[in-house]
Amino acid sequence: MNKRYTQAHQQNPWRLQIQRFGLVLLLLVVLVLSFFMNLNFTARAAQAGVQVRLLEAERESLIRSISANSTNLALLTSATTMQNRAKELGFVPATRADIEYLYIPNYIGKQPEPVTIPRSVADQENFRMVPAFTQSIWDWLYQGTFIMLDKEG
Amino acid sequence: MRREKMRFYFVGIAIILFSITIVFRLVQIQTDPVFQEISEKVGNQATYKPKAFEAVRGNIYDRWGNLLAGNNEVYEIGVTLNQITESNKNEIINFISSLTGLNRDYVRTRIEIPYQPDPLKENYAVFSTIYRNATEKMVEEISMAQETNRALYPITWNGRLERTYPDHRLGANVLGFYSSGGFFGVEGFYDNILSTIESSTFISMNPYDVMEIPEIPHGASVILTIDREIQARMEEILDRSIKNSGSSSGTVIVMDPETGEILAMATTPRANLNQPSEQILAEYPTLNVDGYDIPTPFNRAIMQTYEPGSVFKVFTLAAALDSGAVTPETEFLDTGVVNIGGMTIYNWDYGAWGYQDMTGCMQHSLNVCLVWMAQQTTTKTFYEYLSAFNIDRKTNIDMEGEASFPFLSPSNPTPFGSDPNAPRWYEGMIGPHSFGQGVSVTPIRMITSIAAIANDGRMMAPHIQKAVVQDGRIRYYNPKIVSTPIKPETAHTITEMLAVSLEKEASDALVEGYRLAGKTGTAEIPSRQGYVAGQTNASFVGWGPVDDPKFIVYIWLEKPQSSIWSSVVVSPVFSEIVENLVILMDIPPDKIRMEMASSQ
Repeated sequence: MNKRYTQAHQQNPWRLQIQRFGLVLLLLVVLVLSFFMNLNFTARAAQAGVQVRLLEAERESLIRSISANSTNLALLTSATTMQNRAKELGFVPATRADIEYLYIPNYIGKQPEPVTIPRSVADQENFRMVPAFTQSIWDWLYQGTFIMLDKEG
Repeated sequence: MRREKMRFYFVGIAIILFSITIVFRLVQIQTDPVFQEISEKVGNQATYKPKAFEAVRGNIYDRWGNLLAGNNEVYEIGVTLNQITESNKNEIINFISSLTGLNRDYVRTRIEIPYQPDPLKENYAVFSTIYRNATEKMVEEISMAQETNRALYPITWNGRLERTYPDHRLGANVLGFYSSGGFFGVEGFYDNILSTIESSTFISMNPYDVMEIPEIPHGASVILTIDREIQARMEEILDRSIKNSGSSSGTVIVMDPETGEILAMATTPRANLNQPSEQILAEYPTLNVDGYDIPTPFNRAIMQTYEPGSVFKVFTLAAALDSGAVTPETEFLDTGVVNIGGMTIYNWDYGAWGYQDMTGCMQHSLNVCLVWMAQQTTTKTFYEYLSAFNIDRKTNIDMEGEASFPFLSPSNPTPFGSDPNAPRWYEGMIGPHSFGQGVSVTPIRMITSIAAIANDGRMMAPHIQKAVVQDGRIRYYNPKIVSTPIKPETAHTITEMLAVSLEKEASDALVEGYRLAGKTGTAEIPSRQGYVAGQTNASFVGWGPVDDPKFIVYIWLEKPQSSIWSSVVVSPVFSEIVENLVILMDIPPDKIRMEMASSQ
């Protein structure tokens, strides 16, 4: 008797309808979620792409600016400018009569200004883009599968 | 119920028909050639743009790290061609013309370039550059104008680097200049390491396309051996000396004889390097000399050969002493005239100086004595010594454009060919060669070879590069010995003899407190008709302090008018140069130096 009730309950039309509706709803939710996830990722990727472009432009501008600033500094401290400034301040070129020589132990003399050393080409190679940034999910899956199969022989 | 169903079917059919229409239209747009062309144009324009990756040219510094050549930021002003319309065209022309001072017709021509967005087409043009070297102020003015006037929106600008020389004319002859490539001097010689390869590519504007942006390494920087302060002082002294003596040009080289480092190299003229290349070159006009069109050398010190005259006598003395043909005490009876190979040679004053030792011969610069010295050395040995001093070769200094003139000698008697009228070597040439006539050399050749005498007989390779900054490190230049033409004892003897001869002569070249060695040289100037009367090349070579030479100076004034004699015109210049050098190089007087050495 119990068996017959259970069968009747399971075959109840409203119950089947609910099951089907639930399944469709689940698929819909999964689809909507996938869609929003995709939208979210692509939007973020696009934003990152735009930021990369902007940063690259800023970097180029900064390189030019740094170079220009050091040149402008050199213009302000050029030999002629410095001589004129010294004259304006009342200095005159020293003669031998003005100079008194002293012996200072361990004095190593005039030292050159340090020159900026740009980073090496080897360092720059470390910043090369890894493939993960350019491959699609399918590329990644295929490549991963082939690498795994290769490893297993 | 039936009517409701009909309505339902009608709505369904309408939706299906609408969907079919949309799909049909989509397919039509995708396949229609007109739409395909538009799509391609718009797509290319929107997704790919050409991009040039500019390499930063390396800097040039003096030995103390002062910037001599760098890069400054300038802007290229232009217009985006597809935004030019009939309504905004005139306004843009007026604005750019008034901002830059460019001719309106020129601006119009640049703006009316047909827009072609296809990068694969030959006449590809999306942007037209109108003005190249705009300042930051100009760009700010455009930006401000655009805020109030939308018609000026098509005007855009791109920043780029321009070669700049902070000291304008200082060391122009040494530095050379840059104009889409390095020319002359250091810019020319080290062009391949100062610059790196520029690249351009089409970059995708699609933010999803992750592209690797080319990493253009900066050009290497070069640190020179030049001392900016010494260079500036030498140029100042040279310019004043040329003015006072009425000379047509001049050259001063200061070198460290121990390493071959060039501390200063001043010549005339020196162009302002911060101007377009045409204007720079206009400062070096082509002159008609003796019927020949000769361009003014950019750097006389390495690019112009001349007959040096008596400064060359130090080589004759070196050969005679080192070979053992004479000693400093050897006596010579000067009769004032000598005949050699059919040539009659006199002293500079046509006088006879009687008995002279070798120091006296150098002190009074006696041509007849020097011819005798060369003869005593023997022709073969004399020319072997000149060859050991590399007189017949370039110095290979690291600057662009070094010149040389064929040297007539027994080993190279016919450098101008076998034509009987062409100059050729013959036995009598040992006469003029012994006192520096009939031989043509550059000032850099002279100072390099004579520096061997100041450096214990070791001739160092002259160089202007102290170090190269590249790949994240500094690589220093190692001084190189080129040859050892004479023994150290001979070198010391010559230095002593030339110091004594200056002292005995009470030369204007002397500097109180410092013992110096030196030799004057007054040379006649050759022309196609023979030597020119009343015109000379006045030179002087000197070094010091004699016990431990820290500098060697070579001076050449071309055609001085105040006096033709080097001892009158150039000796005081040497003295003034040394007065300044000892201060700038921190060299105490000999007495104090000895005291300091003994107290250590």
